[in-house]
Amino acid sequence: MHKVLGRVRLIGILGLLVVFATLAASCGRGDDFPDRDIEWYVGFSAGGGFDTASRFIAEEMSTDLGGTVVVRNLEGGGGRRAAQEINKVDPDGYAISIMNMPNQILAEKLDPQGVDFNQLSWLGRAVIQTYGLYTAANSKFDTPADVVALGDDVRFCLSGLAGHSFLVASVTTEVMNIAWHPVTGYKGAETQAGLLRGDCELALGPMAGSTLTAVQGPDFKALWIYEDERFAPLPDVPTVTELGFPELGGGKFANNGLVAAPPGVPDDILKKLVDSFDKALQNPDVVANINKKGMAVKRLTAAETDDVVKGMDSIVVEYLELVRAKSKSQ
Amino acid sequence: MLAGFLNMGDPAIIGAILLGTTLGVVFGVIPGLGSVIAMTLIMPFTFGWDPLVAMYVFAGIIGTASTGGAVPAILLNTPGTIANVCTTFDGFPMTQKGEGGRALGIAATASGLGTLFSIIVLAALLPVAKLLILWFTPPDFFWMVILGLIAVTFASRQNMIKGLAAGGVGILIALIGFSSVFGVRRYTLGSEYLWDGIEIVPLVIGFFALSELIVYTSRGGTIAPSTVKLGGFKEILRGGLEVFRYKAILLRGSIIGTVIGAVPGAGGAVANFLSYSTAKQASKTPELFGTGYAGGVVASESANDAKDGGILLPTLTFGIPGNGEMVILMAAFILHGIQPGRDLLVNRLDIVWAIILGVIAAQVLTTFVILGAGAWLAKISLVPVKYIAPFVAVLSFIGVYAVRSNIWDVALAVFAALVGFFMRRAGFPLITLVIGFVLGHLAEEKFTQSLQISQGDYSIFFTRPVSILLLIAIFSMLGWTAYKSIRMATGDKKVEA
Amino acid sequence: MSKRIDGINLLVCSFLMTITLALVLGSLVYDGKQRLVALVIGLPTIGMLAFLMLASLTPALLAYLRPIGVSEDDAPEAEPGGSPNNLNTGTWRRVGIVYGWLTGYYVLTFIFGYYVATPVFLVAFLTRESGLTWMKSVGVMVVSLVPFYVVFRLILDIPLWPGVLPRILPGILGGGSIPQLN
Repeated sequence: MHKVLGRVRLIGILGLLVVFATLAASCGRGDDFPDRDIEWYVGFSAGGGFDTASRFIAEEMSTDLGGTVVVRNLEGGGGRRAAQEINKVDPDGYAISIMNMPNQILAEKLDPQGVDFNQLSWLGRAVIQTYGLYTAANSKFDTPADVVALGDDVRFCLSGLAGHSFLVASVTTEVMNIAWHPVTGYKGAETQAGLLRGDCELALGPMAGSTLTAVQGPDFKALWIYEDERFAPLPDVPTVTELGFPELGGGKFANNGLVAAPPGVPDDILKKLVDSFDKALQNPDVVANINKKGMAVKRLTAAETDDVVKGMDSIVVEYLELVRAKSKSQ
Repeated sequence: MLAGFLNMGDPAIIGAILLGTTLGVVFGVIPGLGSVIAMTLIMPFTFGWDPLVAMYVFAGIIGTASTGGAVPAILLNTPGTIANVCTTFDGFPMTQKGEGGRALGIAATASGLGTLFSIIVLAALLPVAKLLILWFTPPDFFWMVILGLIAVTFASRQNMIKGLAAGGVGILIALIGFSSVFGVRRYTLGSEYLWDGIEIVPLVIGFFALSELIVYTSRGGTIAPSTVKLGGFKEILRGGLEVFRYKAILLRGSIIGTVIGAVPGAGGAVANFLSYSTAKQASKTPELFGTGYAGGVVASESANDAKDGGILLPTLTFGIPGNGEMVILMAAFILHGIQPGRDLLVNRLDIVWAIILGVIAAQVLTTFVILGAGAWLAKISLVPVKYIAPFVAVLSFIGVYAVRSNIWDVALAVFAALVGFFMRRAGFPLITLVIGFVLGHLAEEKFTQSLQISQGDYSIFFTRPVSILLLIAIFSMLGWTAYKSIRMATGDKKVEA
Repeated sequence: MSKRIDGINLLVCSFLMTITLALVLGSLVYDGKQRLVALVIGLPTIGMLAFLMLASLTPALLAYLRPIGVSEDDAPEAEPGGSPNNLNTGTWRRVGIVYGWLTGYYVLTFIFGYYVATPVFLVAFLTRESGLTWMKSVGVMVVSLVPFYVVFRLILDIPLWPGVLPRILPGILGGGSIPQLN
């Protein structure tokens, strides 16, 4: 009898605990979407460029939607964990994710995990970072023509043998017919140190943040950018198109922060998300804050984003074997 | 600098230092949490703050987390952060003898002095730091890492083969996961969980915090004998002053911490370990280490806090983050519109001084807090472990989960607890496995990088002045160890005869 | 000096040897430099572990290594009662029970999430192991968890694992998405 009473008490306590937890939970907000927090996954640690931009946009979307959009950092696999998560969660509109493209597409093609980026429900583009090639100010390359004319094996400082910079380096040297090899393990400012030390001669990266500041300074110089039109912060730097390599231009190698919902989100919910997202990107304060972090905002509609993703997919597929071959040869 | 000192009278700055110190100590004390999580959590709240104020908060966290981590290391044999592992070797035996307060006093003072040393070095070297960083190339880093790995043999003198074997296993499991250097996944068996490799926090929490929990909870009782009389504040003070009797160890530990801190990727665990094993190696009474020897605590704590100054050097001058803390600090810089490197050193010296003075102020505050609260904290050693254990478990589980919000990490920690328990029971030193794990990946990266730079020419490892100096240091260390061992063996033989 | 076989030592060496062999053999599928470290480090490690396993069975072997500092304490004598006391722990039964608590807490957390598992674990442990009455256990649990909840959930909004059950209370109970394991 004593034991039974004890068990009843235990069940009672558990019940109280559940009630206690309920009181602490968010109150229901009604039947319309959203009626609870929307989670925005970021596949990188807090504080990075994409994470910061996500937080600015999420804050604005929270105000617009009348529900909280909460940024969740799901680090892992260089951003793949967030991509896998958004691919498998319920398509109810309560989860979206920002993805670094075409980096994620390349990672998926090299090591398939079942994520089809063409099936995701794209909201639009949050941020874009122009890609460029740069070198130390005192390097033997004064002009792009020097690089192109070079017969020697040139070394590129890159993060690794499977990332975006490796793809761009592989394609660039293939198109320009340059003999090269990678020196890996350089991230961020380490790349600049590598260039100054002479570990390598060239480096590739998004012209934003500390890299942009570096090439605008006296120690480094940008040799070209992967666009059709000149980049405002670097007005004297030619584009690959001007140099006679239009196949490298058009911004196809830019770092894009694209935002997606899972495949199959109902149209009405998707429209709410898309409209709110787009509205946030039109807020001058949000744009200014993102610009301050060294990133640009160039809005795309959902349909345009779909097309961009398809385009990126094609480019990655086109150069996939080249990347694999070069990676294997190291 | 003067402006920096004057700024510290500003109530907002004082508040920032207090906040950073509190966060650093609390997150350092709780196993698994640490400064990285503290900085990550507070960062969004600093949106819109004056950058100067925000930097004092971050500096406070950086300067105090590993000092806070010494508290559970000493009282519960559970390092609060990875950088406090070696503190358990002598700090915990002191607690078991009822001298936990004294150990806390030693740790607090050694930490404070170590930080002060490294920050002074940082301030002095800032004008020439860029040159120093550029001078140090991948082959030099490689030999530096090998030096750290060689030190594993010193720490395992009593169980050399087991220590080396554990170190080897540590290096091997560090290879699991995606290698950006080679662009391939290795040893993951297709597992997505292992894509990033084994995460160090669950491993360390499992090995140290949870396996120790198994030990003392199964035993019961209290950590210190219940009959012991704790010394109170006088004992804490005695411990604090005792540090000055170990000037050589203190200085050596501070230098090692500062230098190792400046090596990106090495971090507090390596500084801690290298200082401890070097102190033991150089000591006339190495047998005292591990028995509750004050010098052991001095060696460990001076180094793991001295790393703070060292690690700020490449971060402030170049924007090269050497560890997780610095990655978050860099993100904080960007968030507040600050560019590390030339811009910071030329146009925003106020930020540099905010960080320097913030670290000093926070560390001094923490030292006094621990000295003041040490007598009260030391009473934990008399609390029956059956009351402490569940809370350690809860906090450890949360700490592990908070790293990357992955529930499998907690499973790994629980598994590592079992492995750690049995390894300890069998006499395998876990610290060598952890050091092998931390350094193994770095060694491979720097080795490969060096060969890529030289396009396959191995002479790159033997032609640079810094590399040659490091090689001499390595051979000297090995030679000295062999000489001492042979002397000891010959001495034993004579005694037996 | 003859010593009994130390089963724990043998068990641990076998476990480490399994990991090492798996990684070294696994490295053979990779190209050149990709397997260099695995072989350079792995092969000597295998050798050392093999020696230690042999020494577990024949402790006298260790005498040959005294000149380089290896002591016979590397193979401590197994206690007759099987109690693992070189760490000064309790009996094996107690060790098993404590580990059972840890495992149970994890399983509970996995299924029900932190917000349910933690209070249940604390109350159960404090009642069964710590010997408090259930009222006191609940009281201690509430006093310790309320500030924790306020700080982690309400102020810092750290998302703790909600458990694998279907979503019952958003962010509190159920709805957790299991991270991919393979």
